[in-house]
Amino acid sequence: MGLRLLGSREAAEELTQDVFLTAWRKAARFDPQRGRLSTWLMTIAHNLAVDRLRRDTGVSRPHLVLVDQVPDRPAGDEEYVLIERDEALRALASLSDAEKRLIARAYFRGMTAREIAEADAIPLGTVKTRLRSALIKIRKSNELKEPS
Amino acid sequence: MNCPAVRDRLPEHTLGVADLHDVDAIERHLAWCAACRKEARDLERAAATLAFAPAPAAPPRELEERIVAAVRRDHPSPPITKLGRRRGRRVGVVLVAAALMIAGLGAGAVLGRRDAPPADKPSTQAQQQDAAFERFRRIIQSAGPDTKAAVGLLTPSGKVPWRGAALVIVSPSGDDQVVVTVDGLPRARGPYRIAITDGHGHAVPVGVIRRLDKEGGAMKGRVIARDLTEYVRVVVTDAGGRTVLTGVLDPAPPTG
Repeated sequence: MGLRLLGSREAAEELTQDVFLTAWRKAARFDPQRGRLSTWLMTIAHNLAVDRLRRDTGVSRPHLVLVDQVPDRPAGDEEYVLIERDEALRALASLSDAEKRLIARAYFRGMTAREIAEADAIPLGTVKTRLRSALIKIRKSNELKEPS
Repeated sequence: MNCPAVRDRLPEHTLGVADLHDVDAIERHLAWCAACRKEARDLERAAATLAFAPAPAAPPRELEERIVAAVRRDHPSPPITKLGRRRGRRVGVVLVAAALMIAGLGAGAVLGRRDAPPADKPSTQAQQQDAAFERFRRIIQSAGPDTKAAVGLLTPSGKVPWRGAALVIVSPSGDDQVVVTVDGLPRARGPYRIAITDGHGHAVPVGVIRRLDKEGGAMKGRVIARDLTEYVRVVVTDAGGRTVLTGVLDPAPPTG
């Protein structure tokens, strides 16, 4: 994910180090009852990456909300990371091309809805609606997973 | 900021790209509005999925050493001494199934088999339902005063000694949860799949029972990130997809 967001191996390695430092400092907030460690670390990584991305591009820092948030399943084996990727790809496959493009811009490039609307010359309301519908589709895709 | 305004901004908030000046207002609203908080949590789970989409890359071997060295230079992690507010709420719900087991209320116990003498066994479905309500009561109480619960007996269509019970906890502020117990099921027809359905043909899987105890009993629980208020029927199917147990959930009596 670091490579995807930041674009260079060096930046991704720095990000990885920062993720583990942040996790170390915030370890008391991790609750294994509420989700896997891998998901928690990924969430920290996304927050830090978006933070860096926007700082590097001179845009004011967005609020990063996910560090303390709850992943969706109980902690388990690390093989779940692979399962998670499969599920993530399946969830993305449920999106329309327009929704995929918006999610990529927001999640993987850190663009706000307003920035996306201006870049694509589409109404802000449309961007927000599509982001919302995309997240709901992803959520529904997750719900269709067969629990173990 | 009111609910519609917050809902309008939640997708960006969830994706970490909300306008900075909106964030405090959103957070303040989420602190007291359970409905929006639940919506936010649903969207956050969806967003968390995205992190796993990019292909994993192999890090260089020395990165691990650099990370360990950086952590060693840092201050030690604060001790884990206190549960956070949200954690407390989640634990309260998640522990429902665990509490049943820790309390010794296994599948048979919930159904009145192992903790009641034969003479006290409920003889009618209504009495069995009452017994299930009673045995779930303390569990429902532990989930919080605002929590709504529904309980139902699961019965077979034929004259076979299979039975079950289901408890659904609908939380106004946290996730909803389903706990299903079964008893007397034959191992040969497993694994068994459990689903909860609403009146519109929507089904949410609860779990797969792969192991039964020696009396054909098992318990399965799942925290589900959606409002289960409208989900009122529980269905258990065997490996061939045939329904072996089904039941309709009724609101549990007040726990006060």
